[in-house]
Amino acid sequence: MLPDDWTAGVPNTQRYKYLGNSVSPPFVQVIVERKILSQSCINSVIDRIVYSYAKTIYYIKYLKDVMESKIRYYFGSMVFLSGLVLSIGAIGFAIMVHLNRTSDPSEIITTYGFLGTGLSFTLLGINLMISQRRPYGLYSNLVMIFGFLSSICGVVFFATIYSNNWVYPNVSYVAFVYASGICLLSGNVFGNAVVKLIEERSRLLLETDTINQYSIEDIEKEVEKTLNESLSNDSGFSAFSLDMKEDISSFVLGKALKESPQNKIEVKDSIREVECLQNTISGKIKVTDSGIDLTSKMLSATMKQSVLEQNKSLSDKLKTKFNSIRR
Amino acid sequence: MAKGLDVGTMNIISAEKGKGDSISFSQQRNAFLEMEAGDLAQNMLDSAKILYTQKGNMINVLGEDAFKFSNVFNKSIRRPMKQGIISPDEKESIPMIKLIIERVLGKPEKEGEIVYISVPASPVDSKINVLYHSKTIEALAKRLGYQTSLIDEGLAVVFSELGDFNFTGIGISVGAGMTNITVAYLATPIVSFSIARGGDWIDEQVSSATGVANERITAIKESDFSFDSNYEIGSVQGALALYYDALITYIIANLKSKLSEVAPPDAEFPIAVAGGSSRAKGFMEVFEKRISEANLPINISTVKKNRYVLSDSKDPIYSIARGSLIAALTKEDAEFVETVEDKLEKEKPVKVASV
Repeated sequence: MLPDDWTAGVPNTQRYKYLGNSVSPPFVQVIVERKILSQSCINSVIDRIVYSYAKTIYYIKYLKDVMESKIRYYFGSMVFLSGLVLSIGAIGFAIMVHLNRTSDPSEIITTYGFLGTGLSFTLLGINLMISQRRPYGLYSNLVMIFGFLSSICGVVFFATIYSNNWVYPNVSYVAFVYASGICLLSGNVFGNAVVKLIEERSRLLLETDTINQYSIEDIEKEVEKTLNESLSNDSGFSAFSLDMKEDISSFVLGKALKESPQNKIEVKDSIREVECLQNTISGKIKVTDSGIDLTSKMLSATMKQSVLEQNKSLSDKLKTKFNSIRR
Repeated sequence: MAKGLDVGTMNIISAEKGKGDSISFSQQRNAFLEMEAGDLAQNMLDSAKILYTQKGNMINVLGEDAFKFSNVFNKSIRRPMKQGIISPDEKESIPMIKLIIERVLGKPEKEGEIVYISVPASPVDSKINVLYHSKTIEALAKRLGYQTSLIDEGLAVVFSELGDFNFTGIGISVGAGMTNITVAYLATPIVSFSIARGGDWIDEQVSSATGVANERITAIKESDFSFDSNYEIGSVQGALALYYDALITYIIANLKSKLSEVAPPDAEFPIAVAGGSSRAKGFMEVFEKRISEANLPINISTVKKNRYVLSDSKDPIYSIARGSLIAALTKEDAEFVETVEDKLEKEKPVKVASV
């Protein structure tokens, strides 16, 4: 039985479609009980139903995912663009002020601060766009947050110490903190991209109709075949027996129907065909059919020939064996 | 005693062995007419021994009388069957067929009495499926206590008419709703099919061509029509001859087409024609002529009409019921022989080896 509210969470139009296309379990039960289809075909039908159900469930999940991913993409693209603008702005500023080693520290801090932040934001934006759902999405998100915070810390640390304290080992610390943050963000992007690629492949495999052993025509042919197999050997008619309940007829029979006997017509007839039919069916009659005679003769000759050849090959085999033993 | 039952679109006929060398046929028209009920009408029907049923304030007159009343009152009769099978358009079809079958078949003398029921073969020119019809009719007879078997209408004609030819030949039953054809070799069907056209088709075509009521056309066809007359232009008889000829041509064309699909044995195939719609005077001559012109892919030796036309001038529609009876009696004899053999086998003394 399909669970209650199994189509919940999708638009009404889609729900109507799913409910309309679904197959009721009693229908499947009737198919199985009445043996309308052969076992292999029943399996195929059940496969199809299960497959359609799975596909629908998958589609509902997919629609929910689409809604979530829309939000993710919105934020992700916004952050990505902000990062890009910051980075471009920083480069533009550097060109504008002709930035070099002797430039004013505030110009250097502004330029590298914006550039570093911009790069972090850009990577964060990409991370948000391709971030994964649970369970491994959780770790991915933790790495993303940690990487972003680390890179921002590096930038802040740089901005704080550049003017007065830009010496060893502070420079190394700043470089390490920022670089590790950027590495985490980049690595996370790569990891998510790989996972996305694998998922896409699985989805394509699922969408490709692998359970396509029986088409609708095949099932119709199976039904016809099964019906033909149900024909009685004696009569060639369907062996299915239709039982009838005792009917409660609302008819009131007329007087003649109840009382007067049925008129009968007697015709002189010895019905000698009964004996003839028995003889014909039991094969006691002589058939004068040149075609059948000829076919019988040909069959007999072919069978004799085949027996002779078989005997011949048997004697040949014996001779060969005898010779080999003698040798 | 075994019985044969022919459930036709126009008539339901049962056949059983009569006293001495005779066959006893019971026949009822498969039709009814609805009338308003009333004390006077019911008294009249009762005194005239007319078969009817009453439901609420309506009366259904059954059988042959329904036709007579329809002509008198100019009312259309209702038919439980259409095109050879139970009519899906008639809501009272099954109760009416049940009543008629009970009437003509009667109760079995003993439980499990054999009855062979003729059913149409699958049509080649229509999507009609005969399975539901066959199984319903079988169930109705079974309910009366009979041991039922089904037989193709065409094969029943072969059994009835082609005994002299070792049951080899073509059996054609031109009925009201359908035409059934079976090509049999030594009582074994090679091809069995039906055509969804018969006497009713002729009536409909003539009725729509001439504007005369269907029931009137049926009455003229059955009583006042022969092929060897000169017809007036615009007459019903002329239209009947025209459509009869069209039906015969259509039957032969389908037979030719079906025979080309199989490889019948190299033997002589006589043709036996039976069924209510073949009883028109001159039908056989036209049929024979069309057969000779058709150049069928088998060797046709003769065209044979129903035996009762020659011997007893009775209706050729009995042929199918007779064929069904022959099948039933054959089965009954075979079962009897089997029972006797089993009994003898059981009674055989068991030899005990002496030590």
